[in-house]
Amino acid sequence: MAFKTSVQKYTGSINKLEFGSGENSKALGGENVLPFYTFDGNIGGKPLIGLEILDVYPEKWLDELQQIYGDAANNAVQWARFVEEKFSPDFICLRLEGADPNGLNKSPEEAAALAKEVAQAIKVPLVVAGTQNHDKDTKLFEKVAEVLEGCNVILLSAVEDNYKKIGAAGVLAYRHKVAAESSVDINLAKQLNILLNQLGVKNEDIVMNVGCAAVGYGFEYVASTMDRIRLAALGQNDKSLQMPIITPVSFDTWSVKESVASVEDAPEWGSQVERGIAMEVSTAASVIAAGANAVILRHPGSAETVRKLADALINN
Amino acid sequence: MEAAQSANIFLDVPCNGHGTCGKCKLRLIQGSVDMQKNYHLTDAETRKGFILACSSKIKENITVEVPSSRAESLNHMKIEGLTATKDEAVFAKTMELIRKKGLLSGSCVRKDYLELDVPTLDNSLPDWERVQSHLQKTKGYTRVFCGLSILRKIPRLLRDSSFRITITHLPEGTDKTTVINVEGENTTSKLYGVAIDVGTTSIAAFLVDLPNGNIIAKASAGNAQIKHGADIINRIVYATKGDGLRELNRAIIQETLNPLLRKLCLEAQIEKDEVCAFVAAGNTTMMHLLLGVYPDFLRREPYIPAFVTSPEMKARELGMEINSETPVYILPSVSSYVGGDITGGVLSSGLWSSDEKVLLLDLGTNGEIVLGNKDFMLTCACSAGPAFEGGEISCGMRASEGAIEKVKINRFDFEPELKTILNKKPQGICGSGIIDTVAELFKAGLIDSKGRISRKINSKRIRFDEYQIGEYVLAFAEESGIEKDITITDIDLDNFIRAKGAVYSAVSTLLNSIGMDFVEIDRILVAGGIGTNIDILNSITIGLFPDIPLDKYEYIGNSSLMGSYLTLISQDARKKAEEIASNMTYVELSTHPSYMNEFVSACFLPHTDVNRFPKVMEKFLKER
Repeated sequence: MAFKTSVQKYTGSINKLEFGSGENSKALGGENVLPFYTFDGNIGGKPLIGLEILDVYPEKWLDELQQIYGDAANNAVQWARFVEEKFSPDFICLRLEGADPNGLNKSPEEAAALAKEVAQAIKVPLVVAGTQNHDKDTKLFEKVAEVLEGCNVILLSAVEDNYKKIGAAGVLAYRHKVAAESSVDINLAKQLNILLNQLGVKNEDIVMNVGCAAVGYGFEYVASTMDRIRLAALGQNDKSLQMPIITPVSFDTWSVKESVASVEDAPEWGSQVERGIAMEVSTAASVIAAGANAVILRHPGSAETVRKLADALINN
Repeated sequence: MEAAQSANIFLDVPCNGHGTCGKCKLRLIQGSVDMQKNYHLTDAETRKGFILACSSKIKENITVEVPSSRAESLNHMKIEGLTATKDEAVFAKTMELIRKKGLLSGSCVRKDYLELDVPTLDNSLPDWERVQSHLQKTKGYTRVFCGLSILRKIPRLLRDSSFRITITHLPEGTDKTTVINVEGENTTSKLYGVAIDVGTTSIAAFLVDLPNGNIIAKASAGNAQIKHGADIINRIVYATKGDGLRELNRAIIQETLNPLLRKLCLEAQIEKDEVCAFVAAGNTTMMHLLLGVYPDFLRREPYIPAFVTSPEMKARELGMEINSETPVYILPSVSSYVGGDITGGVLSSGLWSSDEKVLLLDLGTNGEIVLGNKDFMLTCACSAGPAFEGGEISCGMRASEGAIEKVKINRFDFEPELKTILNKKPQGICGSGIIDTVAELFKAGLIDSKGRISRKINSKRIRFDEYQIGEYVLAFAEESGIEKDITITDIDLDNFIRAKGAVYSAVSTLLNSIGMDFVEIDRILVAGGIGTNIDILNSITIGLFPDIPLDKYEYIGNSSLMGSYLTLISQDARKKAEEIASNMTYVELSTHPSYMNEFVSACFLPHTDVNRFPKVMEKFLKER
């Protein structure tokens, strides 16, 4: 008798979420098996890889990164075009760092206007990330959602403190998608999804940002949380966990010791930029294996490596 | 604050003076103080001269007024197991059970009337040996002991009463006894005992006529230790500082228990020397503090109590104002966080003899849970915190006069309908009122599943402060009996949801640990201070209790006091209590891998996993 591979079937599947507009839109999720389990069923779309840009000059970024972008980094619009043409990422993540009350504290109007210019300048879908100050993000996203109406962006992120306003303005009024951010806990992730849902936001308009950590910094917690979320969504058909996952990997990996210590400070560790890329790549590779449908990266080299890895896993 | 405490003026200080509870408000009449600004005082209160005692430094002579609402509330505290007719029924049922199980064997103490031979030159036995020989001849006791105080008393007493005396003694077996009191004439009908429940927050007591077991007086008081912290952890910490342990011991015995004993004796018109038996039940920490035993290791891993079974003690060793030779017994504890109050609860509820699977929930400052039947008993404790007793809630108060105990909120205009204890003007809100408020706010759509107050609703009862913290006004200042509005805030809701999450997740972890499901529970007994007016349906709606049929729930009042009473009137009940304590298996939740996960998922209304609350959701969907 011929050998027959046994197949693990699940009752649930991950929602397919489209963002961006028209023919350039991209889809997240859609799978009904664990990540890369091509032998079990439909793995949905490929993991999407986005590159991070800022609304201000990236002064704190490594020299090597600044050199890649050169003058383009002085203006987010040119920067976005440059990234799109040169590295063709699946999407671009514009991080509105300039609106941070502890930094330049730009007004929501100013930040939103820039976001609009960026969105108009590029074809790939846009993810707009806030300042991680919950109060400011509330106002920021309300404005961003308004001026970007029609662009169908992902607002990264709404948390328990501000989900109502961001959900109401971002999704219900201006039809964008919202990332629901929780801090590495399956229950908290689920609770926020339920809250958004109770507000009237459809599950199909939610993407989860379930939290992240650089590898070596409690990452096991991240991996097991994603794992459990995926198993609950697929195995138990838990509707309130069937959203795709987006993970802003670069937000964490570029601020840990391995990426921050200069060669002078840690000569035995070798090149700083290579270390930064290594941290970014290993974290990103791990989250896509654990269930993330999209990752946000900073170094174009990291993006290329992660893309190759994902393609290799899928095509074999 | 120190000044007030040293003058023995009662200030309710659940946070132990850390400036976090805002309950030690005083009104400054004369002088001024250095005070740090504190968000517990509204601007209006500051203008009226209110200060927080704990955050104020005295720099000159000052005159302050202690607001009456706070000072008096303690003396009018409503204690479960004392009044309601509901409790009478529980009492009758318990007695029936204990009688059926043959555990009514009489108390440890007896009185016997002796008519001794008058000594002569021919019958020259010494006084004490005369008593001994008489007892041997008439009662068969071959070994009779007594303390020095008896010897000091008998020469004159015997002669004043013509050698007709009544002895109070503690028989052990058939041949040995210890005399603890002698009185002239026949006083065998006057033999009393006291049973108490020592709670972290309040003390309740029965004075019992031992020969017939009748309760002849009942009393209650707040635990005076409250001024040193609201929960057991704060008390333990206080006990480790300087003279802390002695002060706590003093607070419970001198300031709480003795006044209570005096009140009982006065009410029943008896002499304090006639109280010859004493039993106390309480959590393990309270028992350590009652006995003046250093409690710090209770809270440190691996959580070891100094003792669980009662040592042999006399009332005089503890400084109690009853007959000095009275033996004091305390109900055996199970572990550091499951005390004799729970042993008492299991004993009096009959859980230990039940064929059905029973879940006993004691909701106090600590939540304790027992699951079992006649074949097995599992127990665990969770720190629910003082929210069920009104602690850590901005307008919370204990269940005393003027506390809001029932709440209904109109679905259309969001106006509340309140019921307060003794129908006084509302002064604050107690545990059962908080449960109702949360459930009603949730049902009316005024809060989301995280307990956050909705911004979409336009009502004068809902408002937000400068930090965007929302609150719902239960009673405006003009409707209330205090200076300010009675509200429930986002922060209160958050505290409360964590308390209810702790209880629910403890129950579900305990069940999980033996692979049981909620539907397999036959009966749920609810005990403790939150009690009398707790609305079971509302408690299920907010996910405090599991969603199982209402008829499985039963409220049994102060089961700890009842257990204490049973072991006072019956030696066999005492033995049974010891057997129960040693048969209970303690489950430590803090090391249980799934507890944290259960806890986080339970901190949601009603629960993150809505499938666990099918009835609630069904009803909810219908109403929406």
